Amino acid sequence: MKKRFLQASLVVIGFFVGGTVGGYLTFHRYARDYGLVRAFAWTGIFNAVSVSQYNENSKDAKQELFSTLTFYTQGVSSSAIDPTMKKALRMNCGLLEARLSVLENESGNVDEAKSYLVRAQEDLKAVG
Amino acid sequence: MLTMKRVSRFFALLLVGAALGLPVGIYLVQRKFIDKEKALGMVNEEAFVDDYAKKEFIYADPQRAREALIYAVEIHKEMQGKSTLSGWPEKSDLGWCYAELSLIEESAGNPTLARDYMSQAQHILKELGLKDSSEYHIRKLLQRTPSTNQLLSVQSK
Repeated sequence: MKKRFLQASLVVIGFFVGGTVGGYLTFHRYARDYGLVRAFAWTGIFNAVSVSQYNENSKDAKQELFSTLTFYTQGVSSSAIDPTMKKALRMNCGLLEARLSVLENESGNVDEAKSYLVRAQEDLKAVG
Repeated sequence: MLTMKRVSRFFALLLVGAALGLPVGIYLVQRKFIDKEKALGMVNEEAFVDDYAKKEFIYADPQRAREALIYAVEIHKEMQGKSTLSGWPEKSDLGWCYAELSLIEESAGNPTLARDYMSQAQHILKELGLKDSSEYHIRKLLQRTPSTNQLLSVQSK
């Protein structure tokens, strides 16, 4: 009885080890091949949340917009991203900077607001 | 000798368990996580580049809009094979991408390519149930609502 139990336990342990290894290897291959798709799965949500918070005048809007902007800026400077996608990212950087400029202006940070506005103009000009 | 036999049996049982668990792990991660995240990512990526294309098409450079629309079409094609979120809205969006590409090619002086894109747009939109999928009607819709919420206005017709 005890022997049977031990054998069954070994199979169960092996099952979990095999499952974990299989899952990890599958995820690893996916993460390697679909980096951009993975990034968009989450930034799409971040972008929607930050713009929604901006529209609702939420106090977290500035932080959320800044986080999304940081991510997009990294995308623009990445060499692994398609040039067309880089332009799309840059346009969105410009739009986020324009929103941040409005928020900084409302907070009384005139210099910051101007800085964001200049950057927004540069980015939007760069994409036409 | 007995210990050796026990050890090899121990590893054999572990191996049997691992062999059974490996495909289950692969299936669960693929089905429960990867497929969903990939579908979401592709939809967001396509929407992102499509929005950029429309803004370029309306306010700036049609050449850049063309590049972005071709990129969006590529994502659509990939989505059709791999994404679980490839449904009616995505197909409709692909139809409108072709229609916009047709207008861009026409204005660039490529009538053959423009006709080809337009016929693809007509085919997709007809398949999706657009009542009037004639070239005239598609052009009219594109001219009347050249913004990002074009799809909604088309759905309401």
